[in-house]
Amino acid sequence: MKRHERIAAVFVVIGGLAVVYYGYAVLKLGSIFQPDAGFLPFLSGIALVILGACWFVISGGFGGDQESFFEGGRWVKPAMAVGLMLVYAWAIEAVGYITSTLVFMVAWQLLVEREGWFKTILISFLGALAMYLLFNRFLKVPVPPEFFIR
Amino acid sequence: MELFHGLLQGFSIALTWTNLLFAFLGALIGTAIGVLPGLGPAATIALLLPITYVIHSPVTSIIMMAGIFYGSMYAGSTTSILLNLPGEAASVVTCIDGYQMAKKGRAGAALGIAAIGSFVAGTIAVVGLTFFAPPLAEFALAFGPPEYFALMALGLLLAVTLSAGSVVKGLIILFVGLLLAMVGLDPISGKIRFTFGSIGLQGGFDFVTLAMGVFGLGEILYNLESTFETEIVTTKIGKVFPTLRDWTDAKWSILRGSVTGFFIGIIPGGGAVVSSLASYAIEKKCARRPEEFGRGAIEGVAGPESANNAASTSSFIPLLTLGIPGNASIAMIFAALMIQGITPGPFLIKEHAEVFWGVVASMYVGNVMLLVLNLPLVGLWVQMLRVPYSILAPIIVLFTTVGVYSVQNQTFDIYSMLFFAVLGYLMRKLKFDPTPLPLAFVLGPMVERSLRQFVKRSIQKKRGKAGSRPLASGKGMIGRDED
Repeated sequence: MKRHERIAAVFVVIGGLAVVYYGYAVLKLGSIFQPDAGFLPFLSGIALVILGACWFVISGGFGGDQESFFEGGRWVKPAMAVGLMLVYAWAIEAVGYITSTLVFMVAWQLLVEREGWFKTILISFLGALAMYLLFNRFLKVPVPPEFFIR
Repeated sequence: MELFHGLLQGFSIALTWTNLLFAFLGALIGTAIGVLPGLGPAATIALLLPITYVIHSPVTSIIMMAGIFYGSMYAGSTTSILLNLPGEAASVVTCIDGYQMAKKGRAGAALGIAAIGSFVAGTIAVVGLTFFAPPLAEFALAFGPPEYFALMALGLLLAVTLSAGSVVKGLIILFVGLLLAMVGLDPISGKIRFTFGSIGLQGGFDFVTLAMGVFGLGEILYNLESTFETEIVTTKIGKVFPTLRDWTDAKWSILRGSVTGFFIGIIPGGGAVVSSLASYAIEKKCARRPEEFGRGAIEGVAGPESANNAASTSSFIPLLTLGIPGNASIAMIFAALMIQGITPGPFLIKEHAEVFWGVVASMYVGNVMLLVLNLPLVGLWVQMLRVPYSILAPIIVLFTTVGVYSVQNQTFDIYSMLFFAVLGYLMRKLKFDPTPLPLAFVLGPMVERSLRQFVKRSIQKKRGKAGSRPLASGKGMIGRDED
C-alpha cells in the first residue's frame, strides 16, 4: 500500500483522539440514564481511532512502498482550481457578480485548462452571461451588484 | 380501493402541464448526465438542490429530481455499449457484452434491448412501489426509537458493506459523516458542538453545501487530474428495435433483472450498482450458452440494464415509507424533501398523499418519456460527448458557486462548500467511496436522537422492572441524574 494512505490513517487516529477528548472533557458524556452532548461524539471518536489504526495496519504499517501523494504533479491543476475558487468566493461580494465571474472564467481557462486567448474570451463571456441569465433573470436570484455602480 | 383512488389522485397531479414539464426536464437532464462520463446522478441532483428553493411545489421538485435519477440509469448504457466507457457506475457491467455486440455491428440491438429492458423494469418496479409502499408505511407507524435506531444503523452498515472499496474506509467515512452532522446545536441539550467560536457554524453545515462540495466540485477537482479525450463515435448504430430472436433470448433476462433489481433496491445500500452486478451473475448462471458471455450475449445487456433501472425505482420505497435513504442520490432527494418542509417517513403517505402519489404516478409517465427520449434520439445523445470537459468543468463550478450562494446570500456557504470539495477530492484520491457520507450526515441527527432516547428509556424501564417499585426506581434515577 502507498505511503500517503498510512499518513492519512495517522491523521484519522489523531483526529479521533481529539474528538474523544472534546466529547469527554468539553461536551461531557452525561450518565447512562441521561446521555449528554458528548456521548455520541465520544463513541464516534473511539471508532475513528480504532478504524484509523486498522487502516494503518492494512496499508502496510511502518513498511510498504513509498509512493508519494504528490508524485507526477497531478495535484497542481486541482490546487490551482481551489485557489481560484477561494479568490472568486471573496470577489463575488467585494467586486460584484459579473466582473468577478468574467475574471474567474478567464483565469480558469488560461491557468487550469491552458486554452488560447480567443477560446478563453469566448467561453468566459458566454459562460458568465449564461449564468447571469439563469440565476438573475430566470430564477430571480439576487446577485451582488458591481463595485462601480454601488 | 384506496390504492387506486390514491393512484388516480397521483395521475391528476402528475399530468398537469407544470409537472409534465418538470418530469420531462428531469428525464432530459438525467439522460444527458447518464451519457456523459464524469458526472453522476448524485452530483447532478446535488447541483440542482438550490433550485428546489425556487420551485415552491414539493411534488414538482421531487418529480424532477426522481426523473434525473432514473433517467441517468436509463441512459448510462449508451456510452457503455458504443464506447466501452460507462456513463454510470451501474452500467460498468453493460460494457462487457454491450461493447462486444457493438463491435459485431449490433450496437442498435444492444441499445434497443437496454432501453426496452429499462422501460419494462422501470414499469414493473413502479407497480411494485405502488402496492408495496403503503402497507410498509402502515407497518412502520408502530416503530419507536429502538426500532428506528436499529433500522438506521442497519441501513448505514449495509451502505458501507455494499459500497465500493474497503469496509474500513467506508466505516471511517460513516463516522466522519456522523461527526459532521453533529456540528452546531445539540438537538436534545441545546449545547453548541464543534463550532470553535464560529457563528456561521452554529446552525450546523448545510446539506446542500456538503452535497455540492463532495459530489459536484469534488468530482470536478478529481477529474482535472486526468484529461478526457473525446472520441468521435464511428460505431454504426443500426436498427434499434430488437429482432424476434433477440426478444426470445432476452425476455426472461429482463424479467429476472427486474425482480432482482427491485428487491436489491429496497435494501439500504443495495442500489443500482449491486443489482446490475448480481443480475449479470444470475444471467450467466441461467444462460443456455454461458460461453457467449463476454463475447456479446444479449442477456448480458438485458439483465443488468433492467436490474439497475428497477433498483433505482424501488430504492424510493425505504425513503418514502421509512424515511431512510438507501444511496447517495436518494439522500439528495431526502434533502430536497426536507427543504420543502416535508419529513420523509411513514407519515408521508398520510400527511402528504399528494406528494407520494404524484411522484409515483410521474414515474409511470417518466418511463414513457425516457423510452421516447432514448430509442429514437440515441444518435443525438452520442453527439453530446463532443462537448469538451474544459467547457463543462468551469460552467459546473460557476453553477455550484452561485447556486450555493443563492441559498442564503452569504459567502460563508461558498467557503464551506470548498472545504467539502477538498474533502471529496481527497476521498477520491485515497480511494474512498463517498456514498456513506451523505447518508450518515442525513441520518446523523435522527440516529443520535433515537439512540439517546432509546438508552434513556430502556435503562429507566429496566430499573422500574428490577425494583418493581416505581417510586424507588424514580428515586434512583433522580439520584443518578444529579451526579
